Amino acid sequence: MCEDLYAQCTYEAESDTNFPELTVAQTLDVAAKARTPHKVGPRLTSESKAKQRKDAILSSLGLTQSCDTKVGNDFVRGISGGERKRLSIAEVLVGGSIVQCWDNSTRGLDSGNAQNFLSTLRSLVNQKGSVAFVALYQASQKMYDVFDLVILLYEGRQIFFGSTSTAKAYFTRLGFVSPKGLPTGDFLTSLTNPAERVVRDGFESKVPRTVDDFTRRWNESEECALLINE
Amino acid sequence: MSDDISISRQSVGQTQGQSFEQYQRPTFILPLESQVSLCIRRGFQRAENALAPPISSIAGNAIVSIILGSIFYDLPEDTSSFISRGVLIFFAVLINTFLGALEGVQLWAHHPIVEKHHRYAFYRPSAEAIASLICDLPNKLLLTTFFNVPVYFLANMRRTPAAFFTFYLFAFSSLLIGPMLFRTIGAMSRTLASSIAPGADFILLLVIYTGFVLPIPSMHPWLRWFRCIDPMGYAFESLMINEFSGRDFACRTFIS
Repeated sequence: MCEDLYAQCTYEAESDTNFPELTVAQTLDVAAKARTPHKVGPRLTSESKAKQRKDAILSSLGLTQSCDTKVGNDFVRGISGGERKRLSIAEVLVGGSIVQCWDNSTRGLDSGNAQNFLSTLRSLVNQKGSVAFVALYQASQKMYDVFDLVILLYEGRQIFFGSTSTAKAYFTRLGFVSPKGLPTGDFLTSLTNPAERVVRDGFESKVPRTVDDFTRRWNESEECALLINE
Repeated sequence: MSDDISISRQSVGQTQGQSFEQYQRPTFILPLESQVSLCIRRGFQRAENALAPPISSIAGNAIVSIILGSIFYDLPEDTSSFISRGVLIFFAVLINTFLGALEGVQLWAHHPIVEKHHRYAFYRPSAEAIASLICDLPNKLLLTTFFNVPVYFLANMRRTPAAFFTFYLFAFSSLLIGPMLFRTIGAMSRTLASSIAPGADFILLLVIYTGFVLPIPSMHPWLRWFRCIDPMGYAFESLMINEFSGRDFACRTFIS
């Protein structure tokens, strides 16, 4: 497993780098063919398997109508910025690695496309049994609910790591209040900012205030013990 | 909890016989030949989608060739043309070698893309390097023809098939060597800016130690050795031999 891990981990950074002269279909072609083994199965050739994979990702990210348009850059005319972003995402998805790290990959995408990307990622993860770590800014409630686990870091230290459904309950038990209508993702990130977090009445003295307090309370909590036993 | 994680990582590493922190080679799915052919196919697709730059470069160089040929038009076959023939041969070798001087710099634009694909374990950067060499060959062949042929015939260089094809061979190899040298310099540098300075140094050294600007006896011994590794020097010497050896020229002026 350790030997495989390097190639199976992909880190998707924020910048977009693609050959401007190639069309969308040609770019994904390379990605698909590079990651499809020669011997695939009794009835499929590797060419057709690669094509299948490519077409599936193209349609799920809404890139089919622009598949014959050049990618372009600042000097060459091509697809739009959002589509270029989706192309970068598609390239990694077609590559199909077991562990994927996505760093703010929805930047510049509208909420519909961002949701599309997350649903595609979710279905691929379910299909292949892979793991995706995603860092999202301004995640809506719907986007937050796609995920299984959430990790909360405060100044580099872990103050929560557990199921997305129990995160809110844990912090509410500690004494924080989530204002009505605030998405859970925003609630969790607000906890790391002393100016933003809202404390319930009567809990002012019991609530953790510094990073050390948070970490200590997390280490002593039941959820942490459950995690270690898992 | 963090202690637990580090212990489990260690135990996995120990069972595999290597430490987790050690750099692991990426495991590519395709073998190197398939990676190269994939990159070649993509290289031709890129060339097909962007035909304007190579075509305009070939057309521009054809015009330069015709202009050069007209400057040295129809050199007479006597001793008065010796200097002109020498100059023309030197010029041809010079331009052929330095037409590719900017290719090292151009490669830098593709650096981030190739690095990204290497990280995703699509193909090795060496596969892309080999492929870009091969994809460039048709362009180079056309350039040799359109740049060297007009000037050769307009200037009335040695008109035998053997001489012409030898000239063609050396022109083609100079056209290949120039970019190769500058790509090597570009690949060895860490930043774009640091690839330009050694390139400029090389240009200077290559030109001076070819043997035309400075005849060999006049070269100072402390850098004369550079002539042994100077590809332009070999090409120039060969083309001079090709042009002048075994040939009779009528005397134009008599020195009494």
